[in-house]
Amino acid sequence: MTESEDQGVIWMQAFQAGDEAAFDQIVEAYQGLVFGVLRRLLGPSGWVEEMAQETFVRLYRARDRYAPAGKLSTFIYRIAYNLALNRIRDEGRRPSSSLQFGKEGEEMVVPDSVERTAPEAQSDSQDWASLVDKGLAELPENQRAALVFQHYDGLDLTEIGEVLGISSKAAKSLLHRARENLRLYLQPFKDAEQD
Amino acid sequence: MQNKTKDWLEDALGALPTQPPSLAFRDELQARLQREGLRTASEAKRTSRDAARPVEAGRVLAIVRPLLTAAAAALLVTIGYQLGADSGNHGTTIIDSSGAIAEADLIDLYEMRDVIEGWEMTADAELEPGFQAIATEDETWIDEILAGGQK
Repeated sequence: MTESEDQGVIWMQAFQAGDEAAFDQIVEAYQGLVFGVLRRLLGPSGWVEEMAQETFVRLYRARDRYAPAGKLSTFIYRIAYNLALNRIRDEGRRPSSSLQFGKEGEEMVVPDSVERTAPEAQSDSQDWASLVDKGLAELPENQRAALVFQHYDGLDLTEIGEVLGISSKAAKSLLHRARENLRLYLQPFKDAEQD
Repeated sequence: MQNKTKDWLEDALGALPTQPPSLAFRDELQARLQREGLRTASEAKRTSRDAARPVEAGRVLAIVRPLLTAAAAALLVTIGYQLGADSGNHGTTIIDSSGAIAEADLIDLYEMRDVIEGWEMTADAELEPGFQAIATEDETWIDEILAGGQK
């Protein structure tokens, strides 16, 4: 689909031409997408609604400088991702101290303590939703975002690269590491469930 | 083994819930845009009215549609009844009031049928010599007249 065929781009261009109602249509069409991605990036925090509002305010402000370059959703994802990233950093919601990261925060090592204590202490009391939430929160932000965009929003490698500002090859690598790290985090819980 | 691992990971990822937008989200966004001077109150009012129009139209249509259906059905019944009534008139009014014979005349004819049936048209040659001649020449005179009329 080219940008000329994307309904979001058509609305945005109408909005640029002065059609205020077109902006409301954008909000109506994309609010679910924005809430979804922010919820998965930020976790069950109280920031989702505020960040969603901020996303659309930024989009409104971008009216004059917006230039169609792909789907509008990609542009909105990028705004939401950058806002979420800033929020996570502002809040110091970095991965917990139990995990260690290599260069540029891209490598994650699951320490023994997680494997040793998690199944017994937590498996019965926490459902998989909260475990995945915690697992995602343990990932570096770019890995988390790549996984969220790929799994929940169905973006391909090129689109993920566009949102994160990296090449599709780098997006593929990021996605692979995200899956492996999340698998390492969740494996003890899975094993405990099977025992 | 790897595939099996990925399968359960996909299932696990599927367990994560999403968060739907709150009902007040749009209104709060409108208020924020106005607060920041990005959108005037009149614009917000107009666009929210535009956005609500399809919903309102849908509600109105939902109410009006059964009424329109009932009205259309009533109209069809009325037209059908009228056509039926007209048809009934055609059945009973066999006499064209503007024509050569009136209903009273027909009744008279019916009552006088015995006289008519007993009337020997060809009995008096002076009154009807043509009939007399035909009757005496050929009994199939009426067939010939009809055949001649078709030509």
